[in-house]
Amino acid sequence: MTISRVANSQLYDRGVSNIQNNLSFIADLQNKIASGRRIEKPSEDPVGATQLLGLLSEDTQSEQYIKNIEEGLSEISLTDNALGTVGDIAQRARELAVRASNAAVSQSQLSGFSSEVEGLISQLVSAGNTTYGGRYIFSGFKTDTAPFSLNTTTGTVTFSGSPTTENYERTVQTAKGTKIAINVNGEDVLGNVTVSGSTVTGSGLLYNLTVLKKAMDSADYTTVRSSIDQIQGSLQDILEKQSDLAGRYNELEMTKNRIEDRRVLQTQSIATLQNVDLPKAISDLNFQQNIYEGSLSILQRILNTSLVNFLQ
Amino acid sequence: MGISVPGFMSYFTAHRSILASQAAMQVVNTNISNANTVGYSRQRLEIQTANALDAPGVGNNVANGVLGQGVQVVDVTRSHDRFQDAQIRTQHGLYENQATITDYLERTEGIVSPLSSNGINASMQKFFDAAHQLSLHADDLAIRTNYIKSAQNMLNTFQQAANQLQDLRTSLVGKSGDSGSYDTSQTALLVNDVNTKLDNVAALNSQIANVTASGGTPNDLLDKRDVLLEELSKEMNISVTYKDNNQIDVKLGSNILVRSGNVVNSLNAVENTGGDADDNPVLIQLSSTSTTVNSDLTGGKIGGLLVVGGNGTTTSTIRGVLGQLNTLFTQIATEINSLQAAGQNLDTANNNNPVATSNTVFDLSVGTTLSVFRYSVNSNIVADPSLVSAAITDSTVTGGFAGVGDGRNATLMGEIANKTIAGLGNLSPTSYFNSKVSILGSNISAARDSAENYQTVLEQMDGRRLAIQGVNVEEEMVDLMKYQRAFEASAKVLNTMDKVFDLLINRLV
Repeated sequence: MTISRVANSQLYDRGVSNIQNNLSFIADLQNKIASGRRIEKPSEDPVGATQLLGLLSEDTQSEQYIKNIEEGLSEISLTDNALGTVGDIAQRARELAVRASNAAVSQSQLSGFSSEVEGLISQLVSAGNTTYGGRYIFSGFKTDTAPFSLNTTTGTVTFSGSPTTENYERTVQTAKGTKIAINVNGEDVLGNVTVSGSTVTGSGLLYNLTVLKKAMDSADYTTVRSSIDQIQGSLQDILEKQSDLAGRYNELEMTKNRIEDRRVLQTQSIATLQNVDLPKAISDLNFQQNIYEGSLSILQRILNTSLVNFLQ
Repeated sequence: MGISVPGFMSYFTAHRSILASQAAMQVVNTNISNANTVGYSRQRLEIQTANALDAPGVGNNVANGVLGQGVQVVDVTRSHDRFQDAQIRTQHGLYENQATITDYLERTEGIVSPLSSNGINASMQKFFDAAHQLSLHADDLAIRTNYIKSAQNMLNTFQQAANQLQDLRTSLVGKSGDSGSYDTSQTALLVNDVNTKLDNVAALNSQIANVTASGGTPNDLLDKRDVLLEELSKEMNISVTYKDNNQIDVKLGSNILVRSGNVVNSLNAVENTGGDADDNPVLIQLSSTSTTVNSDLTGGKIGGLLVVGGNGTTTSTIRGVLGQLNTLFTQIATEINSLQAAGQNLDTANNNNPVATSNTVFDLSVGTTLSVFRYSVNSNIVADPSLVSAAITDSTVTGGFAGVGDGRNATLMGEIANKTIAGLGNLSPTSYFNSKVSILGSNISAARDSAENYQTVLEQMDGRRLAIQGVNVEEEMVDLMKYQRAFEASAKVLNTMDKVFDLLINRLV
């Protein structure tokens, strides 16, 4: 644009509007540097904001999934711990059975063994009733109900958690569409036992130990001997459960690591999109400040210069 | 050739010259005085040589028009370009239109505040988080309470934003069913202002016609009318036709508003009684025929208000964003409610089955307003959070209730954040929200960019116009000196002539 004539009001208006423009640039930079944020509203950078919004949503979701996984990891390690105790108990029972299987063992020794096995059974029950945050971990969904109850008179142990015939797996959501079970069925681990007079029915470790105790009481060496293998079998089952749990633990942990790795990248991208590049912002500010001072000084000169000054 | 000069003619010639110089200095004076007056057009003294006299010569015939009589003032004109005016008016209309749209969409964006840590999507995320928490601790009453509180918080955040959007829109274009809101709307206020200006334009037209018809040039009145037209064009799109005697017609589209000295049509902002629950914006009608001219009002502030406050779909509108929030919340509420009804709660009295009073989380009352305003969190569940259906109805379990630790339904509730929902265009709630605010952001940025472009062009046009009509004080000072010298010279001539006549009359004895 070429202007052959310049009106005075134009000079003043231009000068003032330039000063205001420059000042608004400075205010904008000041705001960015002070808040540390490059984008406050999507309209400031629609493309960047679209990415940013997506990343932020993903990030909060990742955070929630990590919370879920951590909850799962705690419960699985507690379950694993309880299973370890159960394994120790089974091991001890097996040792007792081995010692009791020797016909040379006296009646009084046998009754000693028997009362230790009785003690082991009640330890099993208490391990089976392990709680986490007030919730029974072996009860399936019935977390408010103690899964195992021991009738101390008869020796019957009933299971009242979610039965294996129903769904019993509590799961945590670890990603969109992916769930991992964090519990095992108590009945699967310890079984149950019903004692009615001399008849013992049931399954699993509880049944095997009750059978062992009854055999010790009646000095039935054959049954004591056969229960060694039974207990060994239960022990094997528990180890399998533990390795299954360990597998799930690893899976959870790997998922967590994967999410965290991705979060690191996400956080970097978020920072790149959202955070002000401080060195650049500050050098921009200096640059703008120079321009601002320039616009002030040029206006000052224009205001002072007039032909009127030279006319006497 | 000998020419005889009428004796005292020189006095008159010098007198005319002095008068012309004085007039010129008065014009300079006016120009300098108005150097900073908005819309002032630099004035110029139009002078030309006075008609020459026919001078009879000695021994020859009358010579026609050979004897100059000096200078004569013809007119005072203004330096002005009416075509530039028309361009600048158009540009003002475009700029104000986009600036208005930008301004109010920015406010809309501020209300939705997508990047704020306590905005709508934050409240949504908190709700889904609470559902996940509930899935992990379905038997914990405190966690259930937290879930309900989060639901309440999400609803409140949506409703607050929706209310603010509704209020913003009402303040711009009114709201049907609330007749008072039309009179106080921004659009109605601007329409009143337009009417006042139309009256003034018509009045100026009459005055200008009178002065022009009697041979004068009403520079100041013309300037005043130009300023008014420019102000009008900031408010709405007008077209101007020039007519005899410097009069103009003002039109909106094909509708004539001002013809010469008369306002043919003023504008009325009236309630839109034909509106539905979606609150159609104010109707603007011609006073003479009550024809609605909303579709003609495309430019200026009024045009911008009608776009941003309207029901259009081509660009973002407040109504559009409000509708999107409504859709989003309604879809979330519907999904949550259907899970709530299908799941199992801790209400043992009803065999853990949700009953009529507990089969929704979000209750929808009957009404005609947008659903988001009519939702409330089910008061029975607020009173007793154990009624939240955190458990699914499990077909492997007799009675369907697996136990208090069953949070599988709550997991499903939490995963709604990621669920693609047909009602949201097969997007998840999070993606839907993100995509809608991104579109809003792009629209704002586009409107802002075009407003800035229009402003740049406007500044250039204004510069070009000022080059023609603006006052340059230095130039005026030079003119002042020029005419001062001319005045002095004329005075000197008068003085000289006077001496000559003094000699002839008094000294020749």
